[in-house]
Amino acid sequence: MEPAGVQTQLRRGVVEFCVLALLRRRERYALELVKALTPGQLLTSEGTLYPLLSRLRRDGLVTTTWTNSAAGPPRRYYRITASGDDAISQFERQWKPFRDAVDQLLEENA
Amino acid sequence: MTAFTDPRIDAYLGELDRALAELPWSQRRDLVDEVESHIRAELDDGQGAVVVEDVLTRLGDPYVIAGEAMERLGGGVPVVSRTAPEHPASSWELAAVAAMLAIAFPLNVLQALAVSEARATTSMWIQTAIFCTWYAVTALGLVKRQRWAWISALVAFALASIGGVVAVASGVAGGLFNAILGPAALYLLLRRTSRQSVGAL
Repeated sequence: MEPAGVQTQLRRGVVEFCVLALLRRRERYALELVKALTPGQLLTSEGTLYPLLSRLRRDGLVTTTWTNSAAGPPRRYYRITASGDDAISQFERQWKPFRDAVDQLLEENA
Repeated sequence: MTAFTDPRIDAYLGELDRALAELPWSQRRDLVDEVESHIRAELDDGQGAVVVEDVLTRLGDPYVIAGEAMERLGGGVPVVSRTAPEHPASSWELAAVAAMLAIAFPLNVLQALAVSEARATTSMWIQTAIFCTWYAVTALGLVKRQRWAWISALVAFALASIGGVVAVASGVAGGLFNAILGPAALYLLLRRTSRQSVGAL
């Protein structure tokens, strides 16, 4: 598996939880999310966030509202739902032991 | 806002829209709108300091976004390159299978008519009506490239193959048609599947 393939595999299934984590404290608009996800690391490119947001919305993990801003066009804000909260909490509980297990295995076999 | 009328933006959004051709209309519309407001917000936030080209480069290849959309939203096979046809033509295999269904339709009626001369039963007519409806709906589904139609055709021709072979084995010449057509259609269907995932149908 070439490095690009590894990164794609790693992103898959993790980035959506990064989005949910970003929405935990407050609602945000898409561009804020894009900038927070540091393209090149968590996103293949900035545009790939949008299919992911559509999916989260379809699954009922986030909702959106259009808000008029003082300057500029109206923005669509993303807000986490109760089931989104559940999903990120569950991910958090499982992520740490998972990450530790991988780290430990890598260290032991370095 | 003046930068927003840039033809490069229109070209980018147009390409994205084409790349998303496999998605349902509402999802496709939604994604293109979201990307459009992303571009608008970037240019507005930057107060003219942001260059259109940079915004589009950071957004990435429309086909990569489309690939992600296909994967996330389950629209079918990801569009992997810009050489992918806008509207992939249904293959000749599918056309052939649909044609076979269309041939099977009148043949079933003729067969039922021939048999009913000898021993007309209501159940035979009901059976014929069911099969004819099934074939017609499946043929239509195949032409419209529906996934369920592929499964339906597979089942129809599997049954036809078995029925045909059994009929021929028990000396009914009428089964010969099914015994040849059934396996031939199955071969075509599976041949296509081996090249492309079922989702592409």
